[in-house]
Amino acid sequence: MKTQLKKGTLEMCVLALLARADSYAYELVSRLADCMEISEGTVYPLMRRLQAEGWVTTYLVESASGPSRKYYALTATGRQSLAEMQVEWREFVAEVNSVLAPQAASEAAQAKRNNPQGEVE
Amino acid sequence: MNQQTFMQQLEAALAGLPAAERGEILADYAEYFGDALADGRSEEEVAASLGDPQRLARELQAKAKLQAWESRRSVGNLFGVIGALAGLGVLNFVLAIPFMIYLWFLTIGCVVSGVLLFAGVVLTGLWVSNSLFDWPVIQPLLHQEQAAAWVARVPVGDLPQIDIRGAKGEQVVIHRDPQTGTTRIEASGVDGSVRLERHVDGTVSRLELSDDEGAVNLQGFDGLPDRGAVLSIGLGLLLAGGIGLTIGWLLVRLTWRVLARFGRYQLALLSGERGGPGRG
Repeated sequence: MKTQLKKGTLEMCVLALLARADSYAYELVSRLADCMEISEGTVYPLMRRLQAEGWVTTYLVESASGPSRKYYALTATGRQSLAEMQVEWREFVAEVNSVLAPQAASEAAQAKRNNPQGEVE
Repeated sequence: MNQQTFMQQLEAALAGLPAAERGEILADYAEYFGDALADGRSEEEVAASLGDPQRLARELQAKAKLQAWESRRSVGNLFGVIGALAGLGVLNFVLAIPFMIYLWFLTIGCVVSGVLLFAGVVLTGLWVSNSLFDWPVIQPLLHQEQAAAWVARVPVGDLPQIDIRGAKGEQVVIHRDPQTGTTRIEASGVDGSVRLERHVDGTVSRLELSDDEGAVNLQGFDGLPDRGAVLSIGLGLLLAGGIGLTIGWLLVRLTWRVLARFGRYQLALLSGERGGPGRG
């Protein structure tokens, strides 16, 4: 369950990191690894897919030591997709929370129902 | 596994891809190794965390094949996809064999429909040509007295048998049974045979056509089709062939679409890009 969830949201997390600043593969992996458990092998296939979708572009930056680095940058469509994903994600989380905590949810629903009456009084 | 082994295995397994794409993939992984080593990690650790290079390459290959096939739906590209998926262990034999048999029947069905359609076109064309130009003359089919247009008149006479054999097993036999008076003309080769029997009263008693895919056997026709029958048979064949080809074509398109979707789905599963709420 946990791994499945993570796989689906990894894409969104990468886009979110890129929304803050352009980055390269190793940096992306390190940042993600700070907050969650990820397998490094999934990053390149994922980046290739994001590229194929037209959500990210790449550019090369020469480095003083070793080979040049490939930087990834978010495109306008990528930014838009990220925004949509975030909305979907928040809705989903809210739905799941309302199932996991039925008491709180039913209280919230009751409050909603009571509220209009309050206005009448 | 150290960096060199990883890169060598990856490069070898990427052999089928275009050079530019291969170069880019290799550069990506070289860059990653460089960054990771600079970060103080060991080559072995990084190689292990990146996964099996062979499997990585097979996934990339399968993706490339699927893309090639989607941009150009040729049979060659289709088998490329099937091969790539089989290489990934996605299509196991239990699945692949019925699928291959299905493809095989589909192909045969399409070929047979095509032949029927062609025969229908020829027959209908004959009828139209006959109506317009009185040529060729259509006469009762396979009836010896008037069979000039359809059956070559073979003067067998009293010869008991003619037997001609070719070097590769081809054989033409004209045989007359002295007791019943039935004449049998038989031509056979490696791929099939034609057999025609003429009754003593001059009617054709039996017509048999066969090849390695099937056989047609007509018996006991007696003064059958005339001009109208040629048209109706022709139209019937046109209809049967047309329907067969249409169904075949629809099935082929459906199959291709399903296969493409299946391939994409499997690849997505393999790369772990599916599942979870992120995408619908």
